[in-house]
Amino acid sequence: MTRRQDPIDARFEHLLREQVASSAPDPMSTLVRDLRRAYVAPFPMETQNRQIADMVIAGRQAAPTRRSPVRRRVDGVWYRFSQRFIATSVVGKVILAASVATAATGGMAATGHLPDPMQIAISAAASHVGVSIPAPGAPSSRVTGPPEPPVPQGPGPLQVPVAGPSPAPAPTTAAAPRSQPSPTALPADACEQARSASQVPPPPGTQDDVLKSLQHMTDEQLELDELLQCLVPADPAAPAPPGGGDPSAGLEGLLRILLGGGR
Amino acid sequence: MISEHSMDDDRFRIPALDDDVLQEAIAGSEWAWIALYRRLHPSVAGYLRARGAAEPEDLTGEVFLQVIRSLPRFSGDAAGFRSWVFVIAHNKLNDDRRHRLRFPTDPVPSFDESQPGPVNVEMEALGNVGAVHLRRAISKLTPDQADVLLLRIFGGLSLKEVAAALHKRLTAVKALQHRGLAALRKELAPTRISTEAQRNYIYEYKGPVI
Repeated sequence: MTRRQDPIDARFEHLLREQVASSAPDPMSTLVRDLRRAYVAPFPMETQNRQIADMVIAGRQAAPTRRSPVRRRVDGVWYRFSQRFIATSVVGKVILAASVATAATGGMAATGHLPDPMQIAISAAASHVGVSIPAPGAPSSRVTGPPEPPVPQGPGPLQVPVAGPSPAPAPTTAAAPRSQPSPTALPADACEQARSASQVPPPPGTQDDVLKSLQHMTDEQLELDELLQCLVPADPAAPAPPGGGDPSAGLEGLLRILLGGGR
Repeated sequence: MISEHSMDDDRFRIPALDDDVLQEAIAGSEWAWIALYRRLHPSVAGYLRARGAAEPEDLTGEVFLQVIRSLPRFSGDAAGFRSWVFVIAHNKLNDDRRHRLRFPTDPVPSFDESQPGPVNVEMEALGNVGAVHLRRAISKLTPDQADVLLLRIFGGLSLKEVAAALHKRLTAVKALQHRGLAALRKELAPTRISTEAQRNYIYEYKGPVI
């Protein structure tokens, strides 16, 4: 059942749809017409031109953002959502606080300013995922991974092929890695260490082998002139090294030092 | 007396817009912006004046600035665009009133019934009788009734569009319109102008319709 429309309302609707001639002598049409006549009036041309100028300037300023209305709309929706979510929702505030706390803890852990138990726990947890975080008591401020095996003392890791039976086999560490850093900077006491190492009697026939191995070494590793001069005097009249050892023994000791054994 | 020739004046109709001009305006053509402004600004200003805006010229300028800024996001036809512009005008008017309540700057009342209405030679020739009575009648309406009636009369908004603009239900808007028309009838009917020249005004009713 439809409700019958009030005649006044019906007349009003007809008038607004321009279905009634505006010149009809009707009080309702007169009302609408007089309302428009009383209030609808264009501005003076000066005012119009001023407002049009403002409008055109505003339209030109808004023009660059008009090229991607969809993207702009998406960004705006996401921005408004995130701002409103964080500002009004309890969950959003909790997430924000947790994020701040995590960032602060991470920063303090990276710089080693956390209490020791917490620093140890975080360092251990981070090491599982390959992140290096200093642990308390570490020698350096940064832990570079699992601790390296201690460098054995004594003869260096250089494997020298021995031609004959060795009466006193030197405790060479064949398993030690060869990847020691190249001695680009010689230690200050390298000469003394080389001399002390040369006290060990060399195995027979090692000089040629050492020289062969020296030929395969890089030039960078062969910056040994200074040390060679202090071990093997070029002047035959110079005094022999203490102990009267073989110059080749001094050379082997030097190589042991340089290649990791004596450092 | 208001002559009949003015009855068909296009200025007193709801402004019609061309869809092609609207599409050009959305695409960024400045001539289309100007055409839309020249076509719509009298009605927008009329709505703002009728609602008692303090400074209808400035407010109309702000309305069209907002229209141009938001035009890329508009989608619809010319009729929808006209309704959209009047919704912006309605919102701007409310913002302006809130601002003036919060920061009162002008102690002089912005609306004075004793002052003549807008520029209209015919009304002024008749001593502004009709304009004054219309202003008084509209001022007797509640704000919601005035919003509904004036958005429909000046902007040509449908009942659904008015309901959406005012955030009200359709039935509520219908009721507001009905009560507003009845209030206008009640407010305007007792006025009797004896002058024969003013006999065509609505407040000199001869029939029982309104």
